[in-house]
Amino acid sequence: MNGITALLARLGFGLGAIGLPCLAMAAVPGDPLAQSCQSCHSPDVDAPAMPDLSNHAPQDIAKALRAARDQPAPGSIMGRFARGLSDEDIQALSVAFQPQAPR
Amino acid sequence: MSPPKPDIAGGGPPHWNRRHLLRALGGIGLGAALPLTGRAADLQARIVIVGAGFGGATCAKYLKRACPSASILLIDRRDRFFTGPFSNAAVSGLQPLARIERWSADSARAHGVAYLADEVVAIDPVSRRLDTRRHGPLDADRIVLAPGIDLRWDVIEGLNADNSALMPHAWLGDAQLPLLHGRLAALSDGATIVIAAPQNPFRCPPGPYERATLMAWALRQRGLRRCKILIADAKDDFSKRGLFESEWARLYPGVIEWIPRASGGEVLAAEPRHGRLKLRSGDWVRADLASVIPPQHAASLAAQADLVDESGWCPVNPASFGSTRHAGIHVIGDAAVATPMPKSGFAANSQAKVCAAAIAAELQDRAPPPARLLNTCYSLVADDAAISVSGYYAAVEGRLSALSEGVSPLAGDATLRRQEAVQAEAWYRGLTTDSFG
Repeated sequence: MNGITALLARLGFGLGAIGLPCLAMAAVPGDPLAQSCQSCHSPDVDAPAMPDLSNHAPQDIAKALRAARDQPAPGSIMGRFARGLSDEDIQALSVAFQPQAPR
Repeated sequence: MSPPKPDIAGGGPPHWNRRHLLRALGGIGLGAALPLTGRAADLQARIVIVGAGFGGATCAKYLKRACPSASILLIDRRDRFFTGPFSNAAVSGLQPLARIERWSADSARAHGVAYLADEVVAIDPVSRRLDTRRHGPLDADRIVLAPGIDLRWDVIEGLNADNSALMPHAWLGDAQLPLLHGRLAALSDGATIVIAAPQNPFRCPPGPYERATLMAWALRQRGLRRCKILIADAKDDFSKRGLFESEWARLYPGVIEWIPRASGGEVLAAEPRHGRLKLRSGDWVRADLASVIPPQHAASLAAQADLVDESGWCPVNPASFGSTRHAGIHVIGDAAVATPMPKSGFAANSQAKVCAAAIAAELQDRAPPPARLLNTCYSLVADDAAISVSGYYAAVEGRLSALSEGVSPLAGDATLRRQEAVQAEAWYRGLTTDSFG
């Protein structure tokens, strides 16, 4: 939770500050790119073609994104996005959908 | 879907004013418990979002997540509307109209923000004061404008807001959708349909062509084999053109004819009472059913608020979707200039997330996350076939760029198109649930 601590420090609050619970709730919102992935890949859909990514391990997500980038399947739209992703992007995205990750 | 329960304003006294409204808003968040010193004061910012469509409703949701103590108010003059996505499926009877109907108050409730059923009639972009029709003025620290489009009635001679129902555009999610559905269902065999497609830029670039395609599907379902559908276009190209043309040849040979501008296709004048349209070629064509989609610009509220440039649309900094014309005001969705993203509900949803993250970062004195966006638009071409276009975009040095994009394979067979129809169903469910709850 380094992000929250850093945020609080920048906001001028010690950890004992009265406002902490509110600020902690407000801290480190998710990456808009991961949020846009979840327009389709959400628990509300969780269809075979568009699985809920919070159910999948980071290494499986990274593997699927690399496959979509490097050998896209003809019936999938994922290659159109993955072609623009670097290895670093894929690494960051692969952990963004875990239930404990910032949303 | 159930009718909306009384919103804040509807449940309040008739003389409800700005002071009452702000007091009500303060009670909705966690504001009362917050220390009002230093940066924490920023977390109590008053943020007003105008427009409860894909952009506005999504922005309300993600702002509430990122700034739970802020006072967030969603305003829309429409208590309900039909979504653009799947609207052609509803016109053709492939989906029930109720499937695409959304209530603005329901979205606000689902996202935990306040809702005001009212029309913003003017915005002072310097003081950030909004004038509402029934609840007086509102002051905001940040304004997110997601007002959509207005149709231009100064281009096609003889067509105006009052008589356009005779040639329904059905492009605003309003009562013209059920009207067009009814007119299509009432056609007899041998009828001629004319769809007038506008010049760029406009809301839902594949929409006019999906409409023609699904109308052909609906006519075939009814066994009407002698009908003809003309697309009279103000352009010489269109979204997913190769795919649409190959699907027309595969599924509805001889039914749909596209007349580009260069062949005189643009509609210059209309006689709505007589079902007649004058094309650039000089010919008058008579339609048993005409659907004329006029050219468009950003909703007039954006122009009143001095947020549009000479193009008629709102220039923004793509890193935040902040207006380049006035500080503290953001514009997302169809009204914004976000080229090369199309004006789509999915694009508005994605822009809303970038905008919410940027506003939250600014209020909380953090660096904003990188502005990276997605779009996907499925077009149904039959009950069991669809095609799609997708793109991945990022703000790079103040400009929005496509990092990668693509469309369905042109040589796709029926199996692949069927897979995409299944995906389209999940896409609609996901996008609308994310946006509206």
